[in-house]
This record gives sequence, C-alpha cells and structure tokens, in this order.
Amino acid sequence: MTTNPDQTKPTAPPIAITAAKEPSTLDVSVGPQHPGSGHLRMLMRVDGDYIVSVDPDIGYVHRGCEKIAEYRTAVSNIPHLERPCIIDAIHLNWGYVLPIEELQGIVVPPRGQYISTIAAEMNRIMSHLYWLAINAGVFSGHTTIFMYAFGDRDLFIELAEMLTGARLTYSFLPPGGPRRDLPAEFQDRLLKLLDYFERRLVEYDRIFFSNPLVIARAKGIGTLKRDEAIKLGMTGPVLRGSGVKYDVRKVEPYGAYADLDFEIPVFEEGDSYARFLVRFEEMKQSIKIIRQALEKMPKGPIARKAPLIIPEGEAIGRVESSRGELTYMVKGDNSDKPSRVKIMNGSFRSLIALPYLIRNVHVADMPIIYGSLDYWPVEADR
Amino acid sequence: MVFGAMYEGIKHIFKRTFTLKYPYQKVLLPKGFRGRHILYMEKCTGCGICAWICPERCISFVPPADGKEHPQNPENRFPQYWYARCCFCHFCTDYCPTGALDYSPDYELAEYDRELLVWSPERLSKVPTNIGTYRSVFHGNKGSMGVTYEPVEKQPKT
Repeated sequence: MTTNPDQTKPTAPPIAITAAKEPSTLDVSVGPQHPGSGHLRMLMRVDGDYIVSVDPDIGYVHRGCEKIAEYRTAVSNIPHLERPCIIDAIHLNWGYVLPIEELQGIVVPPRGQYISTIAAEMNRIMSHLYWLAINAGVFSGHTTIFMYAFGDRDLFIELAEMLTGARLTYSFLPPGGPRRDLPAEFQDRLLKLLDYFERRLVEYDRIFFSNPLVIARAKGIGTLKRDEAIKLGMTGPVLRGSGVKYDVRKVEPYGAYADLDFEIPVFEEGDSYARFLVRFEEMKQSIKIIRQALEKMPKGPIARKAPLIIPEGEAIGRVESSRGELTYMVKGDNSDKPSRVKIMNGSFRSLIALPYLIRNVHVADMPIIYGSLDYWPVEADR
Repeated sequence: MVFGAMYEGIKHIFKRTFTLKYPYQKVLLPKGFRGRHILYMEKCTGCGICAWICPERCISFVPPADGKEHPQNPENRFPQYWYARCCFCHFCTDYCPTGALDYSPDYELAEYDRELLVWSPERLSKVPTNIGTYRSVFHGNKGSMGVTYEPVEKQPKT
C-alpha cells in the first residue's frame, strides 16, 4: 500500500470563523404561487427583518388581449376584454365601448346612460368590497372583515345577476347602450340594499377602519408623497390618497356623472391607511350616486342600434375604474374588427410605485402596502 | 377601541345565517339568467348570425338528427353548441333575428366526457327541468344578515 505524498501536506488553510462586518443581505423570491401576491413575483432583498429593495416581476398572466382584439368583431371583443379584471367588468367594458361609440357617432339615450352609471357604481362597490376582504382584510390578518365583506358583496352580485343575467362577467354594454332595462323589482330591492349597506359600513368602520390594531399596522406605512405620486403617474385611489383631487368622473364626465352630485374623497397623508380610507369613502359616495341616479332616472329608450362596422379613425375612451383611470384607444379601418386596441389601466400604474413604497420597511409591512395599492395582476398584464 | 371591534363580531352570533345547502337545495335564478341556451327549432332559419357574433367560436351548424325538413330553414342547418368553449355572453341570443334562441336558468353543465359537452340542436331544444326551488328574499332589517332563502311555494305573490 503506497501512500500519496500529497496527503501529508496541508491542503487548505483552516476556515476562519469571524463575525461579518458588513450587513448581510438575503434575496427572497415572493410568489408567483399566490402567497397573497397574486400572480406576481417579487424579488425581495432583505436585511434581517428589513426589506432593502423589491423588484416586481410581472407577466405571468399575460394573455395578449390587445392582439386577440384585432381578430374579433367590435361586439364579440367585449367578453374577453372584460376578463382581465372580472370583478370590475362593467368599467372595462365601458372604457372599450366609449371610443367605438365616438367613432360610429352614436349617442346613448339618457336612460341608457343612467342604467350604465348605476351598474358601474354597483360594480365599484363590489370591487371595493373584494379589496376590503382580500387585499385589506386577509393581507393584514383580519379574517372577520373578509367574511363580512364577502357576504355583503354577494348581495350586490345577486342584484347584478338580476340586472345583467350574470354574476361577474356581465358583457352588459355593447356599443349603443345597455342590453337590458331595469327589471321590475330591481329598484325597490336596490334601495333596501343600500339602506342595509349603509348600516353595515358603520359596522365596518368599528370593526376594521377604527380598529386600533389595523391603524397600528397601516398608519405611516408606505407613504407616497403628493409630488412623488404625480411624478410616478399614479391614478385612482392611490393618487387621491396622496392628496391629489383627480377623478375622470369629474374631469371628463362620461355617462350620467355630469348630472349627479358627488364628492371626491381625498386624503393628504399618502400612507397605506389613507388609501384604505379613500376606498371606504368612495363606497359611501357610490351609494349617494346610485340613489340620485334612481331618483333622476329619465324615461325613454335605453339603447340605439349601432352599426356593426367601426369607421376609419382613432378614438380614446377614459373611465374611472375601481383601480384608477382606464384608457382604451381603438383604431378602426371600416371593417367589423378594430385594427388596433390599446389598453392602459390603473393596476399597471399602481405597480410602478411598488419598488418606491416597499423600501426600508419590515417584511410584515409588505402585504399591507401591496394590499393598499389594490393591484390586480391580470389587469396589469392584460 | 379594540373592545368595540370585538363587540361588533360577537353581535353576529345571534343573527340568522343565510347559507343554502347546495346541491340539496338550489336557488331559483332570476328571469333572464344567462345559463345554457334553449333553441326553438321551429323558429330557426339557419342564418348563422349567432356563429358570426360568437366570441369563442363555439357554434357550428349541423342538420337535424331525425332528418325532418323545416320550411323556414332552407339549408336545413341548426346551431350546435360546444359548451367547453362557451363563455355565456349570450350575444347569440340577443342578435338572433327570429328569437329562436333563449336564456335558461340551467347552469349545471359538467360532464365526465368531453364529447358530451357538444350539445346537438335536439338536446338544446329540451326545456331544463333541474331548476331551483329556493328563492332569495332580501330583508335588510337589523336582525338578519340581509338575505334568507325560502321555498318558492311559500312566496307571497307580488
């Protein structure tokens, strides 16, 4: 048996165990398998319990909606263009239909405008209740509000089912006006529901928004200052939570909003709690809008016959969706299909702020900040 | 106060629940619910507008299985639905010029075999029988959670 002469030599110096002088960071991947993030992956660099930086990685639910829209007719585009955000289907549908109506030169009759407005505001309440249940409730560990908000959301869904025939994917507004008039018992039941929901909002306030545990977790977390919000191009509740009074319903009224009296809730703080409160106050304003619209509801036809062809030209439609300003650009070329559809939505813009907000905060604050943006991955990926 | 929040939760112990025990109890859906389609073969002219408007392209045209001729349908073709693709937008029903298509409250369309999801014109003509017998009644008073479900027979006629 021969011995290897090399074995007698020391092969490596002994490992020196010394304390690290520089702060050690660790890269953590959050998502995309829905740990409260939706279909979004966040590349998070943490230093102990503090987040150093976050890099959102999007595109997991990209469907190519804009390209598919070039192969479908103007009307048959509606079902798949409202799929990106099914809990906000009326707004996604309305934003797409406005430029087509502009190109075709159709003016929806007043009754149709009012019905669309009622449907849209009901949809805003439903969408904000979904946000309250999942993005605010579950993300902050408050499962009671999750149960309450989802239970009350179903009452609105039942009414939407009565009006449109579907629970979520309504396809309610083709070019020319809404598909159906208000059903017989709809108005009484909606008014009763609004009275009930107003009382429930007081309970929500006590159990969630005035709850000291929620305030302790959300107040002063993820502050977005007014100038930064404007510079980053925020829209919707995120922008209004930073103290900017901007709402498409007031700036460029569509539907019946010009005739209705409502306020735009604005909070100056710019933190997560301010964004919570903006949505809470918006639900109250939606109740006010629906009541007025039912009161002022004019008589007459609900819709006009729209041509099946989109004339040559380019038009832009803007609506205030639940997640911010939604812009559709539709280009027509005298055929029954649009030659180009471009979508810009509130979720994508909210995501731009995410790396700026989740910085030098605790890991446990990440879901709160993320939830306060009300980001919907499918809508942003389109 | 955190006790105020807890009190709000405790109050709900004494409220009535509004759960329906599906599939033993089914809810009666409102008129105009967009479930599966009903085809009136005596009205269909086989014009093909339903297939043109369909966003999912799930409608194809086939002759009737019994070979019977319909005077209003010169080409003797009727829509056949492929429910694996249908998105239930019901634009086909709204755009049908003769009213040959209709809504139905039938939503239980699951099958064990993919081929059974193709519904022939004869199968579409049958009126659904598995309709719910419970109707949601909205109370909106303080004692309830908004809504309860009651059998349809007990409903006061309004």
